[in-house]
Amino acid sequence: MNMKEECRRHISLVKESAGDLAAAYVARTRLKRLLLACSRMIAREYGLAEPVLPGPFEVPAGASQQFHELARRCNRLVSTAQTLCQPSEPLDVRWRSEWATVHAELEHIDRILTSVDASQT
Amino acid sequence: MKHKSTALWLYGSHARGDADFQSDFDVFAVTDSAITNQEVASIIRSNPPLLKVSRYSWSEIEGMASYGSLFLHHIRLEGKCLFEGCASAGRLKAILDALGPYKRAQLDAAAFRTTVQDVRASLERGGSIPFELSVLSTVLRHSAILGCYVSGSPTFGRFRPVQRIVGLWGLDQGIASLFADLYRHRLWTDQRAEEPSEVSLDTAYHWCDRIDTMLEKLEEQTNEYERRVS
Repeated sequence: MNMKEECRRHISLVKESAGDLAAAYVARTRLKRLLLACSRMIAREYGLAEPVLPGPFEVPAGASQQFHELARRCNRLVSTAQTLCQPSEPLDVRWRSEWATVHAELEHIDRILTSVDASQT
Repeated sequence: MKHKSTALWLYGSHARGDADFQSDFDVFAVTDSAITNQEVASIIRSNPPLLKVSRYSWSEIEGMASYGSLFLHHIRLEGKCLFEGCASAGRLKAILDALGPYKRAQLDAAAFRTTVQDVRASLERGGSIPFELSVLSTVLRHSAILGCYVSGSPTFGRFRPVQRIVGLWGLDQGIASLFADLYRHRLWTDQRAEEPSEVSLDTAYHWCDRIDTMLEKLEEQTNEYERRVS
């Protein structure tokens, strides 16, 4: 499976866990894994060192518009994830209230990934 | 006054008195208005370098109290009030005093199990070993905290819950003695420690095995606990 498909698989996993109240704990880790996969995909595309931790990332200046947009949306999710992932279980309550925002971002990211040229990644 | 309904409580290692140089200064903020770290620092008249504010609304706290939130048990056991606005005086303490037993132990145990399965799957697919080790360290610590609670010995902190649960349940001593090494990955992800040198795939799988063994015991204990409190 290529990196693009791997990222899309992570999106499915986040969505799958988000439907279950008990799985908020699982979903937040899956969300971070998705963000890491996206940043690794872009790094690989441009021959950069692949990050080993999820976090904000920048794409090279000459990168495609799609990758710029992907990075922008992922970075926004990193920020949302920090609020969702406070150190306790109430994130399930918060997860439910924030899920619409996260879901919309995931949909955007999935669309960007779908449109990435098949020759890339 | 903007923060008249705000309550700020200290919890974690600084509240327990066992903080070290890597410890966050954990502040639990309950408020219905937005509050920045700077405002918290100004209210408590201190600006610690590792100030970490966990923010909740009063409705979130009431929701958490309805299922006996383990996090609220932590605050009740170790928290210290730093500030209460005039409209929130005594409100959090009253909620904490009335806190019932935690009702989500089995759900948490199931989530920990799924998380370890996810880690294994990620490792098999070439995922980031440092990230997965960080996830494992968090799962192990949270499992130990829950295990201590359902065993009637609530214990919080970075290492103590793991040490205690290993003793209580007669688990492999290696879990307790090597946990500090594993937890360095977690500290590193928070930029509170240098990058750990050992990041082998074998190490990650060994931790998955150890944690799975512990989770078997946790599932057994949470089932028993839920029968007792239901």
